[in-house]
Amino acid sequence: MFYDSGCPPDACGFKGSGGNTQPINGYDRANLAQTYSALLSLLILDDDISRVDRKAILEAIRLSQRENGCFWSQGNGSESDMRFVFCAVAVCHIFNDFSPINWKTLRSFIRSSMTYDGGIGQGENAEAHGGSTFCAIAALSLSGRLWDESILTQAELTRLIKWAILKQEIGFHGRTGKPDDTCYAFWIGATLKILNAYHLCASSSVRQFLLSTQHNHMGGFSKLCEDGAYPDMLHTYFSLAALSLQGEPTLRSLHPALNISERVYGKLGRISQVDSLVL
Amino acid sequence: MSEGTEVKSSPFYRDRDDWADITPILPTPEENTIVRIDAGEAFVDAFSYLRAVLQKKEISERCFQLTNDCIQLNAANYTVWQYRRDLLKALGHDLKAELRFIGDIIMENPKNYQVWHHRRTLVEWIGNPGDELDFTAAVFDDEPKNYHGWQHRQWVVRHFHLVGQREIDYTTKLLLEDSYNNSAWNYRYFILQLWEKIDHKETLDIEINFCKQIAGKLTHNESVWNYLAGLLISGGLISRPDVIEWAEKLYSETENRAHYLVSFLLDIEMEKIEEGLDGGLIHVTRAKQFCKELEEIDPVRTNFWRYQQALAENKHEKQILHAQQHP
Repeated sequence: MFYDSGCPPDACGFKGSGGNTQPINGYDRANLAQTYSALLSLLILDDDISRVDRKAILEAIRLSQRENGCFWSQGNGSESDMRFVFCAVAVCHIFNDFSPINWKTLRSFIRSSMTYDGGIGQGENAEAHGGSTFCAIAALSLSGRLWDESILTQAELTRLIKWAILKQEIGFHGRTGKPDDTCYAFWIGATLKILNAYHLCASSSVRQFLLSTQHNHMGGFSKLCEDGAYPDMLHTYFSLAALSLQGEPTLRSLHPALNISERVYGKLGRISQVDSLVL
Repeated sequence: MSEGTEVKSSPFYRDRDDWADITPILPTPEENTIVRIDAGEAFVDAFSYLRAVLQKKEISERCFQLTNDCIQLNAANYTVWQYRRDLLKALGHDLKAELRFIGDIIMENPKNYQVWHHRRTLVEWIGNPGDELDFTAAVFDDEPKNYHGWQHRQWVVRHFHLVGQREIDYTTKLLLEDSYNNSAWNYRYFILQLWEKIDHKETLDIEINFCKQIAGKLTHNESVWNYLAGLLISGGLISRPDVIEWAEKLYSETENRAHYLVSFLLDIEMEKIEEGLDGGLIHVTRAKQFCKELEEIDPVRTNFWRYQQALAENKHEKQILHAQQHP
């Protein structure tokens, strides 16, 4: 990961890769998802993120919020959906500063992404999806707006829990009528965990599904439980994260909303305290 | 896309005379040491030249051709797409030809965010919906639940104001082919909302009838039950006694009951408890019976149905308290 010092103001932060000796004409813009991942990676590596230009990143987040409340991934005109709402809020949470976010417009974006069946889609009127539902619920949790009914009502959260619970066959799938897929054991599992509703699912069944997707010779977890499936990094990570949600022995426990171990999350708390002492 | 591409004597840019003036920017030692990506030789070669021309911000036909190769190697690299769009504009290329190009790439990489973003940008530039509805239909022929495709179709319909009966008919066709296609149900609901018909009595009657036909035959279909409940979201399930009557009849006539049907009836009882209908208690008893049945026929959600059972009692107590306080 590489911190780009010559970035345009609306795309400051971290890029997916480096290698260029100088910033190149605004092409290599930072991406909110990379900024989120980079900050977590630094924390995992025991860095105290004090050398990160938080001011520039927070300003980029402010400039990245669209009129409809959502966020551009890497500046004006780039991709934009619920994934980047999560990334923006998570980065603000890491820096303990939510001032860049306009909650009035974000509220209406999240509300317009709620579907008739109780879940949340990637954007206005899009089909309810496990990934985007996690992004929205985790963002509300990280910003302390999950329970105060300022964005979603208690009744809407109850409907959302039912939508999520209905996504279980053996493991979890991300959309109605789709096959179980290991990564949704995290996206839906973590959503339920954040909503204090994980105990309502059949966790032993989820565990059984996850273990059935392991590769016999190579190790690792696959996306689906089917013959000839190959494991990959993403699904292996999310399978482990999902197992951690249910207290699998030998795995560190997970902070479900920020998607980081509680061990690292604890460090973040100490950094914020030091910051406020200095201020 | 291949028109105008010269035949290369070597697969590598480093061996080509027409690229001899460019010094490629090869991966740095740090890139090669930290979590090195196992990229092939052709990949490293093409992207090293790409970095070099990006640095110069060169605008030329050869750079446009270079982006062809880079996209074939990695269609998910968003910088390549951004550069290609700048080249398209600066070189004044035919956007329709580019649409055909991106159409082929999407068919090869239908689940890639960047390619759909590129298509949307092109359509926005062209300024008319062209064949976009047919294009997404072709994508759905291969994968009827392609999320990007449905988002694209929604955007096209919203952006160019194409809402209308044709879109409803399209979902009818898809749902008759596969009534488990939740994406099609969601799109149908979206069209009715955008058309501002979702609350019209006439529309509701048609839609409820459509649901009855499908749910009556395929009771194990979560999508249709969700859609039916979604239609009645503003007034509540108890706003339509005809629907309740139909569901009760289906329940009494069915032996191998789907949990969606039982859960639908449970939700009706829950509403009645909340409203304090018939004193409430009779509905608490019935709700608890449904929960017990659900535990049996839907064992994976046992914990959830037990919780619903407790919830039925809680709702009842809450309603009584409320009635006492507001006589």
